[in-house]
Amino acid sequence: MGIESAHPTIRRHFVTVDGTRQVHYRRAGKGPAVVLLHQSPTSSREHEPLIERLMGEFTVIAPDTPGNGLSDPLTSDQPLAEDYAHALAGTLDALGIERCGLSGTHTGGVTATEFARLYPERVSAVIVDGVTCWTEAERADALESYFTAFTPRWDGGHLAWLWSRMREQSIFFPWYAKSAAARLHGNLPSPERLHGALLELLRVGNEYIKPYKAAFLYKGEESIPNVRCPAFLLATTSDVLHPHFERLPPLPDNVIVESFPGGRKPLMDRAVEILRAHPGQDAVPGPNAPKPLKTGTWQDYADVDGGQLHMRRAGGSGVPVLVQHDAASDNNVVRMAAEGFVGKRPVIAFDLPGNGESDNTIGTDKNKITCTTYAEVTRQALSSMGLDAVDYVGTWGSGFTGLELAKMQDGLVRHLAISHVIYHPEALRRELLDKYTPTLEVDWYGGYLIMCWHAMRDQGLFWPWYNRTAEGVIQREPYVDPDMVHRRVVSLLKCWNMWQAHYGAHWKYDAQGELARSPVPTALVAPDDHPGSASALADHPSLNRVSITTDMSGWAGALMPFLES
Amino acid sequence: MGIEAPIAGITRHFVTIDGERQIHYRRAGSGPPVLLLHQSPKASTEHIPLMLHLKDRFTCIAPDTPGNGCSDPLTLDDPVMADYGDNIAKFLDALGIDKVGVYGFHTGASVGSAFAARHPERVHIVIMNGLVSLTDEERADILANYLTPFEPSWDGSHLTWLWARLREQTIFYPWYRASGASRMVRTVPEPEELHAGVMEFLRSGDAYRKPYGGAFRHDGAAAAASLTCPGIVCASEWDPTIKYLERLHDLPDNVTAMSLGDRRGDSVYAWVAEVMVEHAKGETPPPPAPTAIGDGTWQDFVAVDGGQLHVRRTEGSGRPLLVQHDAASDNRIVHRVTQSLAGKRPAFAFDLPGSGESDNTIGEDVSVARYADVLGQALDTLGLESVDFYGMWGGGLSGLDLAVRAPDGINRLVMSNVLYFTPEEAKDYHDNYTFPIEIEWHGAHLLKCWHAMRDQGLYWPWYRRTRESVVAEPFVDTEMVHNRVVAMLKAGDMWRHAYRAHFAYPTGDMLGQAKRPVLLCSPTWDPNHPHGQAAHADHPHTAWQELPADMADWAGAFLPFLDG
Repeated sequence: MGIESAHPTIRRHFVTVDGTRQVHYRRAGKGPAVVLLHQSPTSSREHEPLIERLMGEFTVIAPDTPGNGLSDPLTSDQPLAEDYAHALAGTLDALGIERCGLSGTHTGGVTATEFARLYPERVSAVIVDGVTCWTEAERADALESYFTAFTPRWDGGHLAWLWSRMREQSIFFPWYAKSAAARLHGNLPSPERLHGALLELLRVGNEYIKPYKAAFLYKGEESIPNVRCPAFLLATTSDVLHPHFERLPPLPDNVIVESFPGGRKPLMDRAVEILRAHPGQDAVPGPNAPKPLKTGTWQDYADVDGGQLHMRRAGGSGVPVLVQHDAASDNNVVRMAAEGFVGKRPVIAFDLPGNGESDNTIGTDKNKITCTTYAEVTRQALSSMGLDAVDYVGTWGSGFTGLELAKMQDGLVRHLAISHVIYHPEALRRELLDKYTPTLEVDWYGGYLIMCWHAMRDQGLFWPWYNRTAEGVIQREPYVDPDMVHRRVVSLLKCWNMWQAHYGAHWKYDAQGELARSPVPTALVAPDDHPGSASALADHPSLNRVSITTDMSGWAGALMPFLES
Repeated sequence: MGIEAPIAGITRHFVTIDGERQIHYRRAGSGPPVLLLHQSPKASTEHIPLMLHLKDRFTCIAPDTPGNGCSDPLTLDDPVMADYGDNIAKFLDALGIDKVGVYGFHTGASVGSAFAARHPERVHIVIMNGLVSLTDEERADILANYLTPFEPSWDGSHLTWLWARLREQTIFYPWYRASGASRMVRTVPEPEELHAGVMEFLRSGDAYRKPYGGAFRHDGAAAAASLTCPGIVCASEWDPTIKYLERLHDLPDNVTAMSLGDRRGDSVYAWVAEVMVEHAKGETPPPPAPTAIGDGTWQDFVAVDGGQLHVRRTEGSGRPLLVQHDAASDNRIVHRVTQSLAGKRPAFAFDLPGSGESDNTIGEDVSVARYADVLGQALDTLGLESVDFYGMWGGGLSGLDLAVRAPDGINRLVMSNVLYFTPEEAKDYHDNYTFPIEIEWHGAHLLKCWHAMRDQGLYWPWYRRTRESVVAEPFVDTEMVHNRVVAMLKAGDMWRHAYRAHFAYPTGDMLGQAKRPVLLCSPTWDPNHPHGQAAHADHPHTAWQELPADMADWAGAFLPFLDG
């Protein structure tokens, strides 16, 4: 399931293309340039094993296709393969790659083929792992049934669908044709692998459809004969696309077709051999920091000990404002709050280690992880970015991380704002420690998804969410918008094995004692009826107070007077 | 998960209406007849506590509303309360009862009001507890949103919806409006109680919308105003329907409106008893036997030691034939076989004890021999001395056991899709095939059952999802999977005990000892097909036959052997 520790040698980066969109990619090794394109609906993560094989002798770049992984989608209604090929050219330009060995799997193979046709001078050799030559009947059928859009449903049923959908693509091809002819004869992936695939889809939502559909719209039989660079069409005999070889027209001498009856390994061996025989440009510059987008925040990574933290950021002048998300959450959830500061101050919103898209550099031991642990990793990130002062806006429990960071290094935190401070009596904190974060485990039928759904939804109905009694009823307008619940579930699924440790660090924190020890100007930020903030202010009357509403886009405006004080 | 014993003093029955549909009802006690009508989307199970309270003084009759519980729905597209009221009159006709005391709760109050308004001469008194009277605006809103169609979905998400739906009605009223104004300040029921609601709902399926919709369309206040028999409209203060008392108007002198204060449970029952003692009169004839409906089958109950078995029957000539279902299943799953016997043989498809709608008379101590014994008890009750026996998968094992231990009672035996395994396979299946059904607070146990049943059509055994275990001809029809899940959930943990009993059974030894003619058979699509062939090869005194693909054609294929 989801969160892993950092890959020891494969690094993740963003590159900004045309100032309008970002591409996320994996990079490893030194030597001639090799570019790897993944299939649908996945991301460059799937190529990690191949990257490992190649990184000893090549500079390997594996981008997420626009709309997949963390890459921004192309904006037209339905881009075609040639649009993805032109987009790849833009990405390679931004990376300083003029000529490379290129390999693509399925959808990635379509983009690779099309790129090789349009830019033969930039390709030393193209490897297409699974060509696509659909019949018109297959294409029409797939366009009608393959690309189910999913919308969050109030009851979480879309997650039940999604689990079944991910399973089904290993049972039938196409997944919706439940017939003996469509039955695949392979193993069903383990629940953990299904979860990984499901998370790839949850990450991008319905954006998964565009690149996938482009592959079904592609006519390989028309394009492949026009490829003018060395081209190798490979497929294992068990590949659902292997029968498409028979649909290929007569091919020029530079296009070679090879079948592999013995599974993936011999095919991979052959791919390495081809890339060796057809090296691209010698070296690849960089990696460089991504250029800013023209509007809003952009994505980047910050180095910390043992890995990378994902962040959204924006430039500007003055002391940067760091907006920090809470437990079981990520910087998507506080994006509105962070973007409120754009134009006022430089902005940073990290995913804490083990959350969102950040590597887990701190383990999962709930007995060891404290707010100081998170503060220390934040310090490392700021240090690697060369920052020695920030204004820290901590939402909910992450306010304590800000407080610890302020105590850790003089001057690093200039102002500390804590929204919705967690301020409960000892007995309740012990109960929360015990009950708030049940263990999450992937199960074979996807039931854990439904549990996550109801746990996150019940947070808008009961306090604490597990107290579904008359006494637990939250007596205000319920906050159960399905899109919001869905975003929270996705965030939770990304940090599933951390949420006990992360929430636990907050429940265990001695807020009453520590707030008195804050070394910097500190404000408690909350709607006027927030009981925890009221109690904390009563105990600590010297703290500042900032009033906000539930609309996060207004927080920056409310906070600026305090941060400028 | 619960393994329920029958409730002492309450029996279950079917009665046939107009030769086209059946009503299921619970009956208890003796004395004047009192009719108890339940709310939506529930069934007569709701009135079990009240029946236990009244049965010493009255004959309690609690029908499932058509479309709920085990009662067939009305065939009309959009039945209104008048139709449900007339249905009560037909029901009483069929039971030979002239006049009754009536108690109805919520939808049951609406049905009771319609029945009393249209058939006042048959009502000693009608108590309408929680009679709904919506304004036009409320009615339009509710009819537009309340009655979501319930249709099985291939991914099981209809079960996710159902759980959330039944939870939601304890959080918001109406359930579909997640707003502060609709929020109820009450405790969400325990998962076990929600699960019981799920089971009632699953019994109804999409038919739940008809009586519920009829109740929302009903003008309760107008019905109450039109009564010419004694009536009481009431509600407890804690019940959201208390507000409808204020909407009553132009009540005649024979109708009283009253608040029940904070009465709930026993104190309501005691009050109902007081009212009925004053009004209910007459005697109640014994329950009549049901007759066939349109397709030539009908449902009934048969008494066995400690309870009742549910049975689906057909009429026909010749020797009676048992049609026996498998573990995690019920007679609905084998109904296409039973149905095809109508007009040919008198067939009896029992739900095994603890499965389907049969009482669990054997607890958790399940074995093939105990199943066989209980079937023997049912045959005794019916006075059947010699039968033919057909069983599907493990269902055939009970027949085999009877054929060995009581060969005089079994004439010929057909075992399709027979379970016949090596000791290693049997141990593997015994250990891994089943899991306890543990009710989860979030309802995902329903998805677990869904995928388990669906995977049976994709892998053999279902829990080994590997290349080697792929079932070549997938059998994942959504309706079929849904019916199997409902049967599995009705069996609860009995699915586990039943399968284990089947896997533990020494099929080979017993086949060797069978003293009656045995036919082994199966269709080629069944992953058990080779096992059946192996059983035949090892026991050449058995006959072997390949069955057609469609279950509806199976009986036609094996009848020549039985007629032998």
